[in-house]
Amino acid sequence: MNRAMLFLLGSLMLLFNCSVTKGQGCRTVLQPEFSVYQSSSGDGYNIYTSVSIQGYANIAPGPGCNMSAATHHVGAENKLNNVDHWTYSANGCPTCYFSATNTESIVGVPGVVYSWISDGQAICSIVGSFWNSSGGGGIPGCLVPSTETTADEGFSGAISRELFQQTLSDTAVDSFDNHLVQEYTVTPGTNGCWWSTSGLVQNPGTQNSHWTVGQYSGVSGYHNQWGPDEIGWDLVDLDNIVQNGSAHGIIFPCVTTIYQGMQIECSANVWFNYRTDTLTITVDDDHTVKACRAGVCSEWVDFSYRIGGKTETQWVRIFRLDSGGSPRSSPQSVPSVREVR
Amino acid sequence: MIRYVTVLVLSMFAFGARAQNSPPHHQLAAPNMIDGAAHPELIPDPTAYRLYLVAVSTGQNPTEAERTHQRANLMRTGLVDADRQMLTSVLSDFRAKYDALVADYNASAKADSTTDVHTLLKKLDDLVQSTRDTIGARLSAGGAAKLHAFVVSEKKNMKTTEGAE
Repeated sequence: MNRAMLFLLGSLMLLFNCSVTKGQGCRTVLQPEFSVYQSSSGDGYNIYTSVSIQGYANIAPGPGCNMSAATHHVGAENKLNNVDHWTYSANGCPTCYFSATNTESIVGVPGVVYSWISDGQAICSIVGSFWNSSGGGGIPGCLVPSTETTADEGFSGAISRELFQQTLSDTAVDSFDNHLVQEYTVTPGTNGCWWSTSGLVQNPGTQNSHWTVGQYSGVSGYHNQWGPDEIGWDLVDLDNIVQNGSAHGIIFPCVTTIYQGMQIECSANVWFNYRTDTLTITVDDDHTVKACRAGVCSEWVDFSYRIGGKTETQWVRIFRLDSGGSPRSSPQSVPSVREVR
Repeated sequence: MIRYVTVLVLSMFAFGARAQNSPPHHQLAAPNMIDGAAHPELIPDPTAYRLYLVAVSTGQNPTEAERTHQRANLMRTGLVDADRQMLTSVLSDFRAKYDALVADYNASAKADSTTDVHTLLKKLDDLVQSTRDTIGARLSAGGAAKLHAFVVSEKKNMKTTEGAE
């Protein structure tokens, strides 16, 4: 009898105790009103990441709740390249408004993809984290093409240049559109068509021209392509080489070589070298010329009768009148159709 | 028997008393997270601007690292140098006012838990709008348009439960 009574009373106590906990314990409803913004940027060498959290919690405390015991704060997590960083706001009242931003940076290496995890958390001193929002992803050290192919697009008689169109690619099939590429001189070139009074450059280099990927001749719509890279001598120089070269010991066909390096702009005017090419311009005394870029060569082009059957001399004269420029002395690799200087 | 019952009843009250003094039981109202990557249209422009402006702005005396980070961040906007420098100045003003508004509100909320947060939210919205007006007035027309397009495009990197039902 006593045991039965004890069991009954024990059961009642348990039920009653639970109901007390549920019915009279401090029960608070939290309505999180938070936002998280994550961003990453780079200047070519450095990767910058930022995680920012802002907001507050709407709180509906139950009867008997003493919220003065609780404090809240927010944290912004910025885990870049597996190194974790947190920035926390100061502790504040449960209904306070909070914001916290964490910024990090590392030096990026082209070809490396860096892991990035971002998180924003709202944290209560009593119950711990009550809201979070995570994100992140991989951040490339720099978008650099692994391959550049060259295609010959023919000779432009108007500017006396062979036109080449390039296509960039990498294994991740990235888009390089709107990135700038730029040429530079790897080392001074050689000029087999030069003699001391020729007026030509003995050791030619590039013009340090730049192009926008995704455009050809300034026209958009050429995905991952750039150009034209215009390679050649001015017509007056070709004329000079052919007419006077032999008298000055030039052996035909004579070859001019330019060592071109190519760079891509990651961002903020910081460039990464992604390849080097050899450009050649070969002139023969039969009034023909051919240009090569990265092993892709044009056909031999007759530069004496290129426009309307005009002779070389007539052509040069017309050209000079049209351009108003003085004879050139340097072979060129230039970005777009422009007057020959 | 009476002794047992007495012990049990006392125990019952003792447990009950402990329950009343237990920490608050928080019930989290399930928020609808708006992911700007999936639904940028659900993030209002003023919210996007506030998030962006706070994230990219610095305090009154930024460190060199903060300035460098800010420059890198602003480079993404595609603004020309003059516009970027002007924006940097606007951001500094914005941040000072933002911090002041939040500090004022938090002081009030700490003193009185019934302080209406919506008053702060309205002030923040007004601040964001006035900052946008300033941007429109001080940056070139093209720069302001470019910045707006950028901020809107950045919604893809934002998540929020603010105002979500």
